[in-house]
Amino acid sequence: MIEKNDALNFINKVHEYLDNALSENESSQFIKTIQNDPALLAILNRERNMRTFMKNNLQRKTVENKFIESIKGQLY
Amino acid sequence: MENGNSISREKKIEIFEREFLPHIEALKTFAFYLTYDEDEANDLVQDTYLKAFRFIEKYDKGTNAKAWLFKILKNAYINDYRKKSKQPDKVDFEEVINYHESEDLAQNRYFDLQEQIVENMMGDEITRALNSLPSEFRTVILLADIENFSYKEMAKILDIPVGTVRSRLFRARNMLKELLKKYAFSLGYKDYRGRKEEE
Repeated sequence: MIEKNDALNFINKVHEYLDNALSENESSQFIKTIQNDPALLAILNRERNMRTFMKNNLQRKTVENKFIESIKGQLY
Repeated sequence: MENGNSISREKKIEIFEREFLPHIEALKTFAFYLTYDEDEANDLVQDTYLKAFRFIEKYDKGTNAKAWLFKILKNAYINDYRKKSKQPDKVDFEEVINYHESEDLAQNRYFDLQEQIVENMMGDEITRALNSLPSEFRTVILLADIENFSYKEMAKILDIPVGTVRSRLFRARNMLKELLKKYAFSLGYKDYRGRKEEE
């Protein structure tokens, strides 16, 4: 049975890994540690999918050229 | 040179157009998800660019223009919010943040979300869930997951320690997943994890 603190540390590591907050060394060490554990890999993949989904589906705003021109017009 | 500044007007315009303007859609998206009002978002973006141009000497050319602009926009939003918060039915931004920060310490559990639920979600649903998060949590999700800012950059933009960025982000992601899960269950999805056989 995994300890609560270990589980939280693992989740924090997952976030740091996906947020590119780990060094190259730490990242490869992290992947090595979990690559043979399907349950841990599944958690990593779920977090990764969630972020990809967010990025792909959240509506991004566009800006019309006349808005840019109006800002420029106030400055120069 | 103007007003004793060290950058010529031509140089300012060059920096403005080459380094600042390419981020206008990212700023507009951020402003929109803070205000939920197209006009207010436009005002916020315009205000950001006017300030950026006025204080262009404070910007180190070739450094992280995007983070610098996001910080200006965030400050403009907070100042505007603070003005509004003087109305009796509004709360103080810092009070809200401090309340949630203290809550973070006590509530450090992880919330997982079944893959099938995410796969079946639509953009509208995730937007709705994001909309219902308090602004300080919405902000970190937008900065990290949509704009790819690092923890350090986010700490600078938000004027908070890196540790607070991490905990707020952790909490924000959990809250978002909880909202999505509730929404999915209301549509009839079930979470079968942990069951040995289908019912």
